[in-house]
Amino acid sequence: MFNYNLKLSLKSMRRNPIMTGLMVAAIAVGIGISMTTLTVYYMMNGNPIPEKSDVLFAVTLDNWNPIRPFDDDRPERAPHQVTFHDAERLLAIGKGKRQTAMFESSLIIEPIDDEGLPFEAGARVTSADFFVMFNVPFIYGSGWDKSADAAAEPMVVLTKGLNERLFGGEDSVGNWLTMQGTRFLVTGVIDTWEPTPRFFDPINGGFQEINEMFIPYSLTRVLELTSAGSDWGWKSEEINSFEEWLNSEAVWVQYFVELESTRERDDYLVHLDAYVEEQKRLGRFERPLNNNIYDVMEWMDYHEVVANDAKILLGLSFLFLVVCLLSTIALMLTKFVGKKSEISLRRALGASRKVIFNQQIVEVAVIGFSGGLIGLSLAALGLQGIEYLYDAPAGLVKLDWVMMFTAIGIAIVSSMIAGLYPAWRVCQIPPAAQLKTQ
Amino acid sequence: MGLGPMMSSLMRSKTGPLLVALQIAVTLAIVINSLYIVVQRVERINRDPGLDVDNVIIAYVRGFGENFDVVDSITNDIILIKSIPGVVAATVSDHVPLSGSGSGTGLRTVPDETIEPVSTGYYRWGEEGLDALGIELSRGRNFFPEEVNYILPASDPPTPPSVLVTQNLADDLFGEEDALGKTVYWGNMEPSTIVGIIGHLHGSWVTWDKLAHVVIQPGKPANTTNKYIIRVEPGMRDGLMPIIEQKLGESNRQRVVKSVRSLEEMAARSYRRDRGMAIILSIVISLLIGLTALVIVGLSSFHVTQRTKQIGIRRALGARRGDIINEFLLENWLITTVGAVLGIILTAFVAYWLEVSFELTRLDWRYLPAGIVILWVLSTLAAIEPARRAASVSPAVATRSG
Amino acid sequence: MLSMHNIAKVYRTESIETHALREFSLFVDEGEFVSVTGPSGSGKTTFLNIAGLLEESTVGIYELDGRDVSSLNDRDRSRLRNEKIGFIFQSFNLIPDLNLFENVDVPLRYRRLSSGDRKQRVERALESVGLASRMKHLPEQLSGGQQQRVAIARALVGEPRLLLADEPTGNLDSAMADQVMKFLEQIHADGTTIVMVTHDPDLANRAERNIHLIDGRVSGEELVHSQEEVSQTVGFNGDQPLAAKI
Ligand SMILES: Nc1ncnc2c1ncn2[C@@H]1O[C@H](COP(=O)(O)OP(=O)(O)OP(=O)(O)O)[C@@H](O)[C@H]1O
Ligand SMILES: [Mg+2]
Repeated sequence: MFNYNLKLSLKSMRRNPIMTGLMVAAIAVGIGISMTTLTVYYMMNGNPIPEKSDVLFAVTLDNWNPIRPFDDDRPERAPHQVTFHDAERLLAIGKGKRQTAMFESSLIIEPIDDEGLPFEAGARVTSADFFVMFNVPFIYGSGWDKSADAAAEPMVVLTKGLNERLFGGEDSVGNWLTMQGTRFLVTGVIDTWEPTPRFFDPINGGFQEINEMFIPYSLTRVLELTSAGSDWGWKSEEINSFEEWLNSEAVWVQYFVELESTRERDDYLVHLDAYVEEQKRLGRFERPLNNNIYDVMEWMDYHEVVANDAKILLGLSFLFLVVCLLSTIALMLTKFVGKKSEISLRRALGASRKVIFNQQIVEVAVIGFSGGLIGLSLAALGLQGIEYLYDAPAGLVKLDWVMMFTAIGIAIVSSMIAGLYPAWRVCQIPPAAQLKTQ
Repeated sequence: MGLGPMMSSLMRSKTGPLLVALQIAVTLAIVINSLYIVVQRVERINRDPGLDVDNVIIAYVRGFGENFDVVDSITNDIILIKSIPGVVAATVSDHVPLSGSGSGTGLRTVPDETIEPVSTGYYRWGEEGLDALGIELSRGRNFFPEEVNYILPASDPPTPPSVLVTQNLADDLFGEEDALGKTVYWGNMEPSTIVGIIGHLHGSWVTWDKLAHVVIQPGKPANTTNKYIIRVEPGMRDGLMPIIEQKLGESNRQRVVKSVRSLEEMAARSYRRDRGMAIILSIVISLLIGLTALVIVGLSSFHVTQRTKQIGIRRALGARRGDIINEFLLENWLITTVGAVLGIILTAFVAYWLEVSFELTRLDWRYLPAGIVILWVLSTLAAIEPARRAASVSPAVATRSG
Repeated sequence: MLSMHNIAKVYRTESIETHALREFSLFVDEGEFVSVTGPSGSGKTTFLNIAGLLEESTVGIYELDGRDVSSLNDRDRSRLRNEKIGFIFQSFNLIPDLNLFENVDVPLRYRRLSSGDRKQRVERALESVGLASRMKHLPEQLSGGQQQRVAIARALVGEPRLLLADEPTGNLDSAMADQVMKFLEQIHADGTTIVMVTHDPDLANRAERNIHLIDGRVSGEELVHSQEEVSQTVGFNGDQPLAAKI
């Protein structure tokens, strides 16, 4: 029976190629557009580290201006970054299970041999726990030891790409790199790692490629590393040396801590408050106590990582899908009305309501499936367009299996819904209609 | 010819026309709101930045190595750049307008910390800065060369006596009063005098609402990365970019040339979200209008085929071609109008959603009549060909077909 | 009323030309009741279409009411159709999604009439065919004979001077056919000119004059009976032999 229905529906579709084409096109365009925006939204709204997102916390401390909050529109919020020296001290105390401080910088890599040219590479200046905390996958070696942090030893972890460029992709652990006159020991090379959004630094962009290498936080003092990310200050301080800059109230360091239980969390907040109280006694932190920790998803919300435009597009494109479905229903209804005499003849010849209904639904499903497939290719095209328009790293937004099944599912289900009413209407045609009206 | 039989016909098969009306309604809601966003974005992209975007080149260099002297390097680089034929002016600057990266500060008109300062973008560049960006000074004077000194990193330079401000900043600081010659106070309560006023200039962050607030200090920032702003003769930019890159690269081996780019490209990059949104929404609008028009054509054509007999009967009973065309167009017009009425309501809902959830400015009501007129024209255009075909049905159909 | 002189109608398709009418001449007087018979394909419908301004003749002169209509444009032809001519079709040709009232109303819609006026006329027409009570019904809710009566009401509502009927009884049983025939006779008695195509010789004989077509030509004419007789018969009994008086 299904085969017969399939044959009938193909025949019926061929009989009205324009109507059928329109229906398929309507579904395809609707699916194409809504899947494109849904994928972008899903990517932006995704959990970059689902296995640990509820045990990793960003830390904020309120060292801001006593007479003005950090953000006038959100006076309850502390600055979204911390000072270099607070981060340094919190790292030294090491109250959490793991913790890391970090900022973006860049260094000039001098050529290994005589032929190469020096070039600049982006670096994340961070501490040893970074790699374990964030589940960073390694191809070769590992991160540096905590002792390297303490002793400010020049060590470096490379990304796959940079290792490719410098060492042709070979195991470079144990090799040396000269950067700004200092020799760095390569301790590891990480594998492709693309947490999306880049949750540990939404402040400087949630959808960038990750930095090309990682070096110890403690080198900041030794090498006078400056931040390539954003820094914010409120206090007029006299700064005549790098040391004074590091000890200023300017905030430019991101601080993360790993805490496993509610108890640990509560303890950690108590610890932060105690730290700030102590600093208050030194004349710092003049605002009321306002220390917070945010888990990964809260941190994404805090920074509104999902761009408003993405939400607007998502909303509008689903309205678009509604238009496409309305078109499909209208077209199907019209088409079925056109089949009235044929249907009533079939009914007269003994087809039951159910048989007729199934026949329509098969036709609808075939249309939905074709529309969905074409829509998927349109969505793939649309995503490439978006990557191009927004200058996103290639492959940042892609249709994964979940998205593909969602697309086909939405296409079939929605065209079924679109076809249900027309099919029901068709079943209501009495078998005698054919014989009575001409 | 009244609405009579056609209306009854419409009412009896109400689901079909109602669906089309609904489709038109949602189309209207999407098209109007999207169009409004597109127009706003395009307006934003096309704002006058107050500088010569087309003829400016930005070069980024960074020194390394132990013997590197940043002040020497900058001095020599500027001399080198200005020796290249076609270069009009060049300066070193801490930031580049429209680039997305910059500094911000707050200024006050009195040295009182409790007063809310006026936020503004700020730059430090040399006496050729205005010329290098093609900025026009509307009143006052530019920096004197002797006011411009090198500023070393991690040093606290003395507050300069003279600054330039944009008219927009001056207005927000001093209101009606003339700002020229007035004193402004920095965060550390040190004073500077406004010596010149720039008619109009955009700062670094194109999405910031105080984009036109700019204050400029004299200075040659000697940071780790040095940014050179270079203006060239019209039409020579693309030819000169590789030359500049090559000459800078050859002149000093203790330094890397990070990039040489046109300001136009950098500005385009800053506006890429707006451009992206405008383009995507334009595509959405076109697809939507195309789809709705095609559906109307498809449905009307189908109706003509379905109603051939009926049209023949009407013709046999005395309907003129014009009557048939009118009937079709009127039917179509009715559906469109019902759709438009529903559409206005829906448009208002969507506009409200955008306004409340995303803080977009309120929809300009004039878009509504415009959208409705567009839909009318569109749906009439879409229906006219099928209507013509309907009118060409021979009245003999009444007697001929069984 | 109707005068055709040397009319020819040729249908051209890609491969063949069909001469549906050739050298066809006919004159129908005001108030006449003419029946047209002939084998299938002999050109009866074609003749009726041309007479009713549904189609144009290929050559020849056609005068309606003393006016040459062969060269009128669509607009004027439509108006004449609407005002002077009423049609009854073999297959009733009611519009399925309009109710009876609206169906009968259709021709009036193409005239400038007030809605009250239209309503009155439509109701009168429906009353005259005995279906006033079913005004709101759809055609599919009626029997074939009832549908044909609605079609007659629709043909009459515009008070045409010329009524053209193409096998009006072709789809009906004999009792129904007789009923319809009586209506036509009544209308004729009221002064309307009628041209009726039929296959049924008995019905053809109930007209005043019969025209027989073969191969697109008039092959014979026969005067059936005079007008006075008909008006008498309508009053009494439809079964009375009509051809008796010749
Ligand atoms: N549109 C057309 N195209 C081509 N030929 C046609 C067309 N209409 C009619 N004819 C031909 O013209 C001839 C006359 O047709 P017409 O319909 O007038 O016959 P008729 O006398 O009404 O027959 P019947 O009694 O079967 O209804 C036929 O041979 C028919 O095939
Ligand atoms: Mg015929």
